[in-house]
Parts: sequence; structure tokens; C-alpha cells
Amino acid sequence: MEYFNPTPKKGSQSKGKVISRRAFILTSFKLAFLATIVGRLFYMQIVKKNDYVIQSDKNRFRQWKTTPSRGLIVDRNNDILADNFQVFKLAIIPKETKSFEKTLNNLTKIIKITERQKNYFIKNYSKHNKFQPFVLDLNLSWNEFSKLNYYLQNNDGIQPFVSFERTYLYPKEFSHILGYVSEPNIQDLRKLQKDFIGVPNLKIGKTGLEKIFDNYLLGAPGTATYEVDAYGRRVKKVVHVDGEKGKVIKTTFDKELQIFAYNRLNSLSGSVVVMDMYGKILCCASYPSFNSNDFTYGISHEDYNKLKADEKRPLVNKALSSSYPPGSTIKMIVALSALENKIITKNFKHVCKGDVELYDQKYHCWKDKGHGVVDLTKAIKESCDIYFYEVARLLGIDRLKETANKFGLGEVVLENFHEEKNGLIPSTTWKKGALGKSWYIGETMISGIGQGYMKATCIQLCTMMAQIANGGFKINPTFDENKKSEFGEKTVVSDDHLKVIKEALFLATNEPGGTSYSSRISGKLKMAGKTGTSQVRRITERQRELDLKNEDLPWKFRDHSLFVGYGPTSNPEYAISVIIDHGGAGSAVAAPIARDVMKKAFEINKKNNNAI
Amino acid sequence: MQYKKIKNNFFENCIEKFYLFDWKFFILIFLLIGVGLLTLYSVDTGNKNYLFKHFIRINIALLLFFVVSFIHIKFWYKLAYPFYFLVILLLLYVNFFGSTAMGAQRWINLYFFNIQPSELMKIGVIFALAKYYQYIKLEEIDNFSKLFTPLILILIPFFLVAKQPDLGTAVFILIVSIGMLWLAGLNLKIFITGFVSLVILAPFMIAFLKPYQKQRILTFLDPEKDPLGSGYHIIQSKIAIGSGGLFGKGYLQGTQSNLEFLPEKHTDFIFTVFAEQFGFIGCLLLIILFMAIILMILNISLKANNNFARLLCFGIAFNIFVYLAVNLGMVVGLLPVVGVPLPIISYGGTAMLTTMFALGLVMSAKIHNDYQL
Repeated sequence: MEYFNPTPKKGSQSKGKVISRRAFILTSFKLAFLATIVGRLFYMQIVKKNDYVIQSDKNRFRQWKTTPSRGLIVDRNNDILADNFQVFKLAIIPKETKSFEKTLNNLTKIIKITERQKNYFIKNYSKHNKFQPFVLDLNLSWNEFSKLNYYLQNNDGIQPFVSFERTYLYPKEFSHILGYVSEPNIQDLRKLQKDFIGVPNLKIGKTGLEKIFDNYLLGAPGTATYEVDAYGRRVKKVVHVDGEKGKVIKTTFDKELQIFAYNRLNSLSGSVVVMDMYGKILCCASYPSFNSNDFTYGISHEDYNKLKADEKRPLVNKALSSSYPPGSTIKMIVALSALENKIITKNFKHVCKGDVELYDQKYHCWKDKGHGVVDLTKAIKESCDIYFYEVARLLGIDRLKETANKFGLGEVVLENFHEEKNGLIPSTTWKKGALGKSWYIGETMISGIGQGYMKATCIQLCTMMAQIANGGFKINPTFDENKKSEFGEKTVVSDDHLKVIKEALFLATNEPGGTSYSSRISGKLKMAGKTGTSQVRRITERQRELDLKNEDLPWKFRDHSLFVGYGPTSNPEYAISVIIDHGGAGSAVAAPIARDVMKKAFEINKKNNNAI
Repeated sequence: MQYKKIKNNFFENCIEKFYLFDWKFFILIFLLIGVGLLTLYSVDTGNKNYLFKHFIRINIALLLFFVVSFIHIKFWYKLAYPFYFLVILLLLYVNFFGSTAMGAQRWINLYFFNIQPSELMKIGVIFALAKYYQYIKLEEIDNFSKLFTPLILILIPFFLVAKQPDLGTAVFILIVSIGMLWLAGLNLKIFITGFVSLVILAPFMIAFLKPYQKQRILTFLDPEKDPLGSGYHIIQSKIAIGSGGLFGKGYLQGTQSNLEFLPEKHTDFIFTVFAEQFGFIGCLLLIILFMAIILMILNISLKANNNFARLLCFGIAFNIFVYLAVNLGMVVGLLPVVGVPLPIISYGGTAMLTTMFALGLVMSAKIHNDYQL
């Protein structure tokens, strides 16, 4: 044992003591380290406990959103225009899915997915916004749906759900004005409330009333909270919060009238607007049209391009989004403005010789021989251009603009309908600002017959007509049936002025020689109205001599055919405007359509009154 | 030379040994085993049958513990070098013929047991160094000639294990060995010199690391960077521990473990499962239990009458501490994720056997503490 108990040398320690002392130091170090661990545990389990509990719950609970059913759109008689039907769908939740392809392969074992569909899904998934569930473009049968729910435990990130698909009962007749719904893109999602993020099969209004009333129609999504394991499998349902159905939107449309008007436009290209004296729009038809149900499921590129390339522009709502030179339909405003501004009296007369010359420029009347001596009534009734050149020249463009604006021209008449065009009523300041040139008197003259810079939409002309018919009260046209029927401020100084014009309009339609006499409505309820034929090109002297017939020109160079009117004349209820693109003379094309639609409106009104 | 008289009568000898056996120490170990079974039961999902296998292994390990305890320390002293060389041979064997698990050759497949020689090496190094320093005089201990042999004893297993590759265990062996050298009485200057040269060499060492090893170190430094990849383990572990709170979520009520959010929950992350269910109080008691066992080992070693037993016990205590410290440090996010089990509690064959074998050695030293070599 000489090694173990060596004779201690001077200053040396026993080996055992060294070991013991060092063991003591090491033990202190161990205790210190374990104290650190305990401190760390204290920090995590007591100081930061709540943070970790929240994270643990975040792990445990997963929320699934349920899709609210979109609100119905009905007409003023509560007939459904846009409905929903229940579908069984399947969504894949991107953040819970590791491999989309693998998930799809698993699915093919449960439901039928063809190879072609699979490739289509994979292609679309790569472009998909990963914040939103990816909804497979499949409608499942009840059998498949229940089978999927049964096998749910074995699949990550798939979510079968019951949803509602928008369907339009009259997909062509109402397509422009109701618009359509489609999947939201990122910009749309930003505008929506946060709740809507993650709602499967969410469709939002993209155009028309679907877009305007989107906030009401959407409703509120519900949620179902499940406890899930680390693989996203549902363990049990914890909470279920019901969503809220979208609100029903009652519109001012009359289904029957709209369908009638739409069909009456058949094979033409144009629009019809009918509104009551308070601006409630009963009919807003545009032809040709598209099938809005196609857009719900996503229209194919091929079909879409075909619609886009069509020269009659089926995708455009012509009643709101196309503006036309108003032609002779502006003449009432010119006359009214001149009367209001005391430029002329109702007895003002002028001689029409068929043309007039100003600064070496010839201005023609539509009637080559001329109308002879013309007074105001005759000028409107027979639509004498020379008379209105003169009135406009005396009146000046700025005063004309003032009156036109009061009657709904030159500015949008609907509230936040982003598809609606402004139209244009020119003025000297407008021209200076927009074109940088000063105004010519000749431009005033052609503005007097609704040509030149002047542009108006079908709905603006209808508003103008309704305001003339209702006694000159300002109205705000609307599609919302729940809006109160009331007049705004009165826009005319003297009722006499309006009376003169209304009489002239009556004669124009109901007395021989009037421009729309052939389109009169016989019987007790009569229509008053004014035709318009607006040129889309400048006619040179040479062409005038050739006297080309409208039908001989290529379609897109032909005149637009317009008609505005109201009825019944004894107690006006409806205002109407009809515009047919390149239809030819207003009296020949637009007026008969207006007559038929107006007749239909009288008929429906009578039927409704009898029913009451 | 005076030997203490060993009783000749075998029966009397056994009675004597039972009397000397430290039952308090055994009860503490038994408590730990109980905690292990309880925790393992809470994560046993039924089809994997961890609990049953663990139970069988505990019985085998306990048997080993008793047998090792009652064998004379003199036998273990003689066995030290042979044991060390046997493990070296096993390490060489696995490096060439071992089963590959997770990209590393670590296992010898014995059909019902997978032997992991690197685990055994932790005891092997302690054994060999304890034996070596038994006969080194304190005056000579810092001589270079006396430093050469222990360095060889340490570096051969270190490189064999690192080559598997199992850097975690290799570093583990290195730490335990350094602890042994420190305890044996090496001058502090030598450690400082070694540490400085290690720091200088570190950049070159990093160049030899495998990509996944580098990844682990990076993940440790910033686990939130890659929450679904390598950082996932540590984040989920912290959530489970933290959400346990003061008293825990209750036995069998751990949502993180029941809903499979925790990785490796029956092996390396078993402490997390325990912490989620029993909270801060439970964790504190468990750590105190471990510390009590370590302190009792130190007590035994202080009373030992020879340097071999003394160094052996210190080494084993240090070994258990390093296990505990690295495992706890890992699950609470203080240390990088290295595959180190929690001694006695974690599910795993070799680690369980090694630990119980080591504790048996401690008990043998206790029973035969008046023996002088």
C-alpha cells in the first residue's frame, strides 16, 4: 500500500484528499448547473406559462370555416332571380398539406378523379393563393361525401364540406345587371373582413349588383373548432358557431318586363331601360348577353375569348357602360334650357330651308326640302334640326350644359355602380381643359341636335325622360326596392315650359307627321316620346350627294337608333329609353321596341292592379 | 500487507453483504424506475408495447444490479482493462459490421437486444482511467510520460465513436474523461493548455462535421428559424414543458404528448412528457431525486478505502450527472439537440443496462468499502 498511503512529503497532500477536494468542487458545479435548469423550468412553467399554454392550444385546436349561403336576389314581386343550391365539395387546406400530389393520390382511392382532372388540379394548385383552401372543382355525390368523412382520419388537410353554389334563374336576361360571382383574388380578400380568410369555396360578387350588394349578400362565415393531433387529424369537435346567411336583396326589377325587353332586342345589339317616376328601375336589359352561371364555375378561356371578340360586345352592359351621341333625344333639353333661360318663348319661330350656312360650313336638316316655318311644338314633333341649330346658337353651350346636368346627363346617375359611364355634356371650359382648344359656335349648333362631343348612356336618357315626365323633379335612379319613393328638388322654373315640351312629345308620337307616329300605342293609355338617330361618322358633302342608304354601309358605320319616351301620357308612370347600336333611324327600329315594351309595362301594371 | 479477513463461510458472507447493502440508495433508484414506468405508461399508445419491453428490461437490469453489487470490488479492479479492450473490440466491430440506424453505425443486433458499444464505452473509459490512476503517485501525475497512457485510453474510443458517426456520444466520452482526469488530480494548467488548443483547433474540427451535425448546432442557436424542420422538436418540447405550469396538466392529461406533437417522447424527450403532466413541482422533485442519488454516490466514494473505487464512483456520479444535465439542457432549450437519454427513466436497452451496471459497481464499492487494494 505504499502508493495509497505514501509518506507525506513536505508541502504535499495525500492523493485521497486531492480527489475529495476536487470532487467537492465538481459537485458544487453540478449543483449550480441543476439550479440553472430549475431556474429555466421556473421561467418556462411559471413566468411564461400563459404564453406556452396559448401555443399549446394553438397546436391542439384547429378552426374550420363554414361557408355562408349567399343572399338571394329577388325582383319587386319577390320572384327569385339569383338562388343557391347545395353542393358537396372537397377542399384541400394548403398549410396542412405536405404534398398536394400525395393527398390527391390518396383521394383517388376514395372518390373518382380522372387522370385529366388530377393534372388540372395540380396545375391550378400551383397558382392558388395558399391562404385560402383549395376547392376541388368537383361536385360530390352524397355517397362519396359520407365516404370521405369516414376516411377523414387517415388524410391530412382535406376537408369535405357542404357549400352553396350561386345559380341564376335567368342567366342571360339578367346577366349584365346582376353580374356574377367568382373566387376572390388577393386584392378582393384584402377588402373583405378578416373572418373570410380561409372560408372554403368563397365566392364574391365581381360585377353588377352582386358586387354592389356584396357586403349584404355575403353573410358571415361560421366556424367549427376541432381538437386535432400533430398530423391534423380531427380528434373531437369542440365548438360550433353557426354562420349567418346573406341578406335577401329585393330589387326594383320586374322579372316579366325584363325578360320581355330582352327578348324583344333579339338579334339586335342594344339596350332598354324602364324606370318609374321616382327612378326605380324596372328593366335594364342589354343584348346580346352571356350566361352568368358559366362564371360561377369558371369559364373556359376559349369561351371567354369568343365573348370578348364578338363585335356586338356581349360582355358589356350597354345600358350603363356604353355612351352614345344622344341625337335628337337631346332636343327637349335644348328647348327647355332656352325657355328656362328666357332665350326664346314658346312661340319662337324659325324657317327651315333644309340647310343653313355658317362661316362657310353647311349644316343640314334631316329633311332635305326643309320644314318651312317651324314653331317649338312642330320642331320637336317633326324633329327639325335647323330650328335647334338656331336655338342652340342663341342659347350657348354652357347654359345648355347646366340644364342637361340637372336632368341627369353628363354624370353618373347611379350610386357606386362602377361600370356606369359618365357620358359627356361639353362646355367651353371642358374643351379648354380636355382638348386645350377654344369652343366654336359650330360645335354649339351640332350639340343642339345631340351630335359632336355630346355623349349619353341609355340609363341617363331614361332618367332625363322620367324627370321631364314627373314634372321636373330630381330623381336618383336605383335598383334597391327598399329605398323610399320620393322626389328631389324641382329643377324647372316654370311648369309651363315642361307642359309645352310634353305636349310636343305627345304630338310627336300620337299625331300624323310626328316622328314616331307609326309606333303609337292606341287605346286609352298612350305613350309620348322622341326618336333619335345619331351619326357615328361625319357625312361629307360628297356622300350626301350620293345619298347612301344606311343599310349599304358596314354595320359599324351605321347610325345609332334611339328612342326616349314615357307613358301613360295622362298620368305618367314609366319612362323608357331604347338605344339600338347601328340600328338605323330611331323611328324605324328603336321606337317600335319602345312601344312594345311600354305596352307590356301597361299590361303588367294592369294585371298587378287587378290582383290587388 | 494486511488484508481484512474475509469470512470463509459463504452463508455468513452473504448475510454480511446484505447488511452492508445500502437499501436507502436502492429505494431512490426504485423510485426513479417507478417514475419511468409511470411516464412511459402515459405515452404508450397501446400498439407499440414500449411498456412491456421496458418492464422486462428493468427486471434484467435489476438482476444485473444485484449481481454486480455482490461481486467483490477486487474482481472489478481486475476486470477493468479487459472490459475496456472488449468494448474497443465491439466498437471496431460495429464500425465494420454494425447495423445502420439513422445514418450511423451504432448497433450490434442480438435479436432481442440491440447492444450499443458506444454506450458501454462511457463505463469502459471510467473503468480504465480509475484503474490507471490507482498506482500513479501524486507527484508524478503531471509528468508527460504519465499523461501519455490516459490520452491514448481516451482518444481511441473518442475517434472510434466519432467515426460512427455519433459526435454526441464521442463528446460525452471526452467530457466524462476530462472529469476523471480532473478528479485524479491533474494540474489545472494542463486543462487550461488543453482548452486553449481546443479553441484554436475548433474551426478545423467544424470542417470535419457532417452537414446534419452542423444543422443541429445551427438549429440550437435559433430554433424558431425553421419551425417545421429541425427546430420542431425543441419548440414542441418547450411548449409542452411551459404549458405544464406549476402543477401540470394532470396524469394522462398531457395534450402535447397525447396528440403526438412531441417527438421521441418515450426516449430522449421523456422528461418533457413528465413535465407537461406534473408541472414545475414534479420536475423539481425529480431533479432532487436525481441529485440525491448523485450525492449518495459521492458519499459512498468518499468512504471508499482505495483510489480505484473512489475514482470509479466519482466517475459514475459524473457520468450520470452529464446524462442528466445534457438531457435536461436539451429539452428546455439550453443545449443543442443531441440524442442523450434520461438515465433510468428513458426507454432504451443499452443505456438502462449501462446505468444499472454502473450503479451496481457503486454498490459493490459500498459493500466492500473497507477493502484496500
